[in-house]
Amino acid sequence: MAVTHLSDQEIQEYFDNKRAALPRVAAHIETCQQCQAQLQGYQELYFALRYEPELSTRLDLADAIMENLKINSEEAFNLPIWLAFFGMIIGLAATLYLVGVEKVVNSLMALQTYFSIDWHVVSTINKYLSGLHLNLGLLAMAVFIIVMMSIIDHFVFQSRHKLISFFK
Amino acid sequence: MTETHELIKRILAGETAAFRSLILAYQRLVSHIVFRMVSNAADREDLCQDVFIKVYQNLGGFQFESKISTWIAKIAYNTCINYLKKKKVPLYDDLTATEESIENKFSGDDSSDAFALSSDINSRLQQEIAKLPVQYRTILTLYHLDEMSYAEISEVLGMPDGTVKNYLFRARKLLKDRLNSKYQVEELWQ
Repeated sequence: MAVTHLSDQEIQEYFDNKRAALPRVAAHIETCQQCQAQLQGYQELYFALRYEPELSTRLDLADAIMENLKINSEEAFNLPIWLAFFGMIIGLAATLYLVGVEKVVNSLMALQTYFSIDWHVVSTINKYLSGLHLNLGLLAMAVFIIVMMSIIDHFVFQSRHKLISFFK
Repeated sequence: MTETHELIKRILAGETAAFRSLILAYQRLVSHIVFRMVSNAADREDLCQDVFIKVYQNLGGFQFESKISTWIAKIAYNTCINYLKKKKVPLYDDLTATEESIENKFSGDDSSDAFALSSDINSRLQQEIAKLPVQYRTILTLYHLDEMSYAEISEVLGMPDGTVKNYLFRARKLLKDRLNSKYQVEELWQ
């Protein structure tokens, strides 16, 4: 009588959980040398599959990730500035649309009075400071350069961080 | 409150040391998945980092409906799948073909010197695993290395339990047959 051997799936299921194996399967394994050899083959394979190859045991991700998150949070902090900028444009557009261009222009013209006061104050200050040989135009230019350098440095600082984390 | 709940609560409160602990606890799992799915060595570490950054960004939405390890593994798997799609690596989503056709499709180049020179079973096995479809490789890793259950693997891969079980059986059979066809049993498992 021809012997029906166990299928690969039955052998694997038996190996995965001997206690849940069907009595027929368990009885066959006990007596069949060919299926025992198959089982032995799978046993060796299972053992080898548990072996950890060069899969990354030496990888230390913590420092690089923490650095990355720091940069990301700095970038996220910049977002409201951009949002504020866009919000300002949208707000201006909405005002022009709702109030009307003519009214807005008239209001701006009315502000001229205040501007003339401002210029008066500036010229008064200039008069007092002229005794100190200071040039207000030059001073304004210096302040403008410092502000621009701060903004550039802010972006360069972020790029530098990205470069450092890239080369790490 | 469990240890994991406590850890997540601390991370969400902004405690960076707690997130570092989470990375240390799960970097092995993440790197197993990434290293097994992605062959490009240069991109592997970046992908591992991407996974943890996504974990950090989405941790607030974690509902404790599954184990944190399953949730992180799912993020890692999806990140790698997206990467492979972007790189136009064929994923062979439909693996319901017969064993013979899969065997033919993923047989690779047996005449390579590297294979012939492999001296131990582990290197031979790694080379054979690398030729398997990405889903088979991931299932083998999650089951045998990370000791996940069928249900957990099914959640990570978004496949039914039965499919996971079927793929696992077929992957092991393919590996065993391919190794046995190239080597004498005594030589192979010595």
